[in-house]
Amino acid sequence: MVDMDAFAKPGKPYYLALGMEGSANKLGVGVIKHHLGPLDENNRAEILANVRSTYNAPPGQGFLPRDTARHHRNWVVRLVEKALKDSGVKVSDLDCLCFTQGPGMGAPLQSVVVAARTLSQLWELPLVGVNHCIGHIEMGREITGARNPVVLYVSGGNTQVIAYSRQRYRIFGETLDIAIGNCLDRFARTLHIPNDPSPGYNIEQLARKGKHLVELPYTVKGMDLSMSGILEYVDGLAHDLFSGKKSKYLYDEEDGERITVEDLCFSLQENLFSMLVEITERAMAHVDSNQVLIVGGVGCNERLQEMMGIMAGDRNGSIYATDERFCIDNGIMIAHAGLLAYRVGYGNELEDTVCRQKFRTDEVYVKWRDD
Amino acid sequence: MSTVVSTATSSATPTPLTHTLEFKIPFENEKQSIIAKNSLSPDPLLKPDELKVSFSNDGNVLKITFRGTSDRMIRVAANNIMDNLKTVLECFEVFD
Repeated sequence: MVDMDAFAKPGKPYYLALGMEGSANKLGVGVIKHHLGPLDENNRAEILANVRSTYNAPPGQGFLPRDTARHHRNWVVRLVEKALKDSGVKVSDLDCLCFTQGPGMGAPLQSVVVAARTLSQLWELPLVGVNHCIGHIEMGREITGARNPVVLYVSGGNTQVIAYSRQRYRIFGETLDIAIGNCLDRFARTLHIPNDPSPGYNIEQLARKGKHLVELPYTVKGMDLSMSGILEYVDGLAHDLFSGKKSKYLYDEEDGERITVEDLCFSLQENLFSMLVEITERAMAHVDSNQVLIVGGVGCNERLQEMMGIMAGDRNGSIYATDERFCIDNGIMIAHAGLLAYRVGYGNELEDTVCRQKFRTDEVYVKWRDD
Repeated sequence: MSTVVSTATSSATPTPLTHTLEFKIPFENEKQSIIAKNSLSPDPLLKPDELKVSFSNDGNVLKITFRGTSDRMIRVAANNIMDNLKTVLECFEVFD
């Protein structure tokens, strides 16, 4: 059993951490509370504040690092103020200040860490740099109560199947090119549908109205996936559809009806999610687990949850997913994972707070678990 | 804030840092000047051969000196520092 309280302040029965996230187009700040002792079903983390501001590019465009960094700089101090006010926590009662150290886009990450460094010096609080993926995993485990699940991490920048083994979150399979969220976002740009609230959400709504399954390339490579070719293909179909072409692959084989944008969204989702289900099932068989935890922005997708649920059900297991407050990037998961690390002695000196665009999930030594 | 720009030509070194720019930023007190330095200085430069940035504190004044191979190199780095400086100042305004 790991001693989670070796660094507790004498006489203080709890810990408080503030977390700051800004690795992509969401800026999030959260405040979390842990009580002494290991976290379990009777000792849950308490969410005191979780605020977010999302930068959305106009329809047909993606968010660029420079504009996103400017958005984060504009909002970061106001969001910290709001989170502190929501939580009712005094700065002097905080134990540490956690920030996303990577992976993510360089400029947005850096715009947030500058605020974190300044505040840590003003408030005389230790800084804890958090791996963004570990933030998702730990928050997902805490919210759902899944003890040792296979983790499917699906977002705009990452697609990984992860399982815990000997104090590392090990990557069993991942994308070889673009992330699944990136694939969906870019298809949304091709369709010129809004990025608000998120491009993936709008694709999901269209997909519900799809009736015809269009055959797309299926590209599972061992435990890994490739998605750029599928995007290229479905983009091509959409262009042909918009330009009014009459090719036979734009008509359904069975009823002869012309395929629609909704059909394309539906088919893209079905195809990509089947690939995810396949590699996740293989990872579950390999580590002999029957729990799947879905985290990351694409994890909000109810069709993905449904498909994964059917697979897990067939294996007498179950899926664990969270809602958009925790699936989509947020500050609370950074506060939570940072606080876990802080409680076993992690911390960053100022000169050691440089953010990294590439920061693998399995680089982190998970000292707070020993199962 | 005061800035001094000077340009010199012809130097024998392989990558002459011929261009310089200096910021002198007065803060309310020495503590703020030191915090600003510590917040801005950790991030490494993309091309250390072509640009050097040094930070020093003199009382409540933070001095940032850019030395680079071209005005372009310096402009990019200086703009970035100014953007980050705004965040630091906003933190002071609200929380100090």
